Amino acid sequence: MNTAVRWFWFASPHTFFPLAGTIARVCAWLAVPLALAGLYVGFLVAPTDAQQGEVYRIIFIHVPAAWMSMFIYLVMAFWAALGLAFNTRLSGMMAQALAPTGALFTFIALWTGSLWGKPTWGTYWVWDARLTSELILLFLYFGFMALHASIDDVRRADRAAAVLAIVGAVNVPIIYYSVQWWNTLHQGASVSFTKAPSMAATMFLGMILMAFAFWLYSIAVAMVRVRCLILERG
Amino acid sequence: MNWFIAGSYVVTFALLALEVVLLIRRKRKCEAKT
Amino acid sequence: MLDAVRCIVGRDLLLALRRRTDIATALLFFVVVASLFPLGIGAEPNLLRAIAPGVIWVAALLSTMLSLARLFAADHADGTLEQLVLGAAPLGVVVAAKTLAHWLLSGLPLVLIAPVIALQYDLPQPLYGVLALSLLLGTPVLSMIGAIGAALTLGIRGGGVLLALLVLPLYVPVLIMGAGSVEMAAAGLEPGGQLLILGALLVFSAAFAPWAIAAALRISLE
Repeated sequence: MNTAVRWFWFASPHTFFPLAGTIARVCAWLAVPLALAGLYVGFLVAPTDAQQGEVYRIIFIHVPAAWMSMFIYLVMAFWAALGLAFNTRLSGMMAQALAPTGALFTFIALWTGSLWGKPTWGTYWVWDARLTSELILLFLYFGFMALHASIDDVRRADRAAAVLAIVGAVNVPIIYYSVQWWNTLHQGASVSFTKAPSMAATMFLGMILMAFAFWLYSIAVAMVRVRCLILERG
Repeated sequence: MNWFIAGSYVVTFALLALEVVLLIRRKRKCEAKT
Repeated sequence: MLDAVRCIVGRDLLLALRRRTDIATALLFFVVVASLFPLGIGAEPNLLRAIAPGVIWVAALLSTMLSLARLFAADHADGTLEQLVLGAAPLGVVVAAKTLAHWLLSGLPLVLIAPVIALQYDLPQPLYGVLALSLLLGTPVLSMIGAIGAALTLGIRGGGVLLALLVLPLYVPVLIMGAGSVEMAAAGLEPGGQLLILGALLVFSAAFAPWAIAAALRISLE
């Protein structure tokens, strides 16, 4: 097989199907112990925070979920761009497979952020830069899924949603920067939900473990979902 | 019992579990068809 | 190439002039929305002066969005759009021209009417310039980003609301910088930074949006 063919070997849904199954199994089996390790470090090893007490432990979910929400969007946009460039069906399916998980992590980031804010800063919601950007990211995910669902022809839906994902991906840094600027100007309360406690090494370790667990979970879920898509689309 | 911690973790893992359950149901349905 | 632009802009303007009510209703919507806020919040002058830039900008966003459906719909219905896509002129140029015409019909009137709204909100006179400039720089960006959405949702049932969901998150930076520039000026600070960023957004979208709009049209029409 020359190199050109090797790149596209797994671009065929037929050949990718079994590979996706293997990846899903491996990642699922890795995700669980990592999550358990992360929770162990998060609750039993990391110390109580001087200012925030126990409640800071929410960051072991909040920060990894926020990271995943942004990372998945980029990966989704990547597959979408690949699908547009090479006209491969599987790329569009990958993007579609990733979207629900990305949206879920965005919601989790918002939910946990809100529950962290109430005991720490006294309010469930604050229009700070990160939370507001996460909210807009959630809208971008919903837009992607809604657009795809609204178009009957699946190939057209894949391509249209791909353009939207790329435009969104280009906009995300612009949105983040502008929201951050807006936030510094309108700083009513000098509150930032993003002020995590100054990181003890164990806190950081807990976050990293949870982040890896979420990452492997996302891969496993996306692989199963793409297998379903391959079967559903025939 | 810190309700905020509980609310965060319980909801998070419940949603992740829900996603998995729905996905498995979808998997069973489409594998049954082929 | 310029011939194509002149031809398309001229045609769109001519067609729009024959249906003047469309433009008028979009403008009227702008004015009505801006008039709703004092009715809802109360007419306290200090409050109105504070929210004026934001309200005017949000109204401009919503008004632009409503008028976006018109951008491709008529041409799509009678087959002209397919001809344009298949035609000799580069599609990027064609869509840029259509977007320009759209802005002349829905964005530019907003710039001209905004001072009237500002008057209603008792915005200090010196701020009118910044307001107009911010809208002048921002509304073309709104037209261009909106055109991407309009092209993507071409022919979809319920497309209008879907268009709103797709496009409003992308409008956020323009809104923040646009309203922010006027608010900076209101606070006695230099609005130059935000206006420059608006200019950068304008240049950026002028460079890249035509590609995205053309790609979206091809996808929607095949």
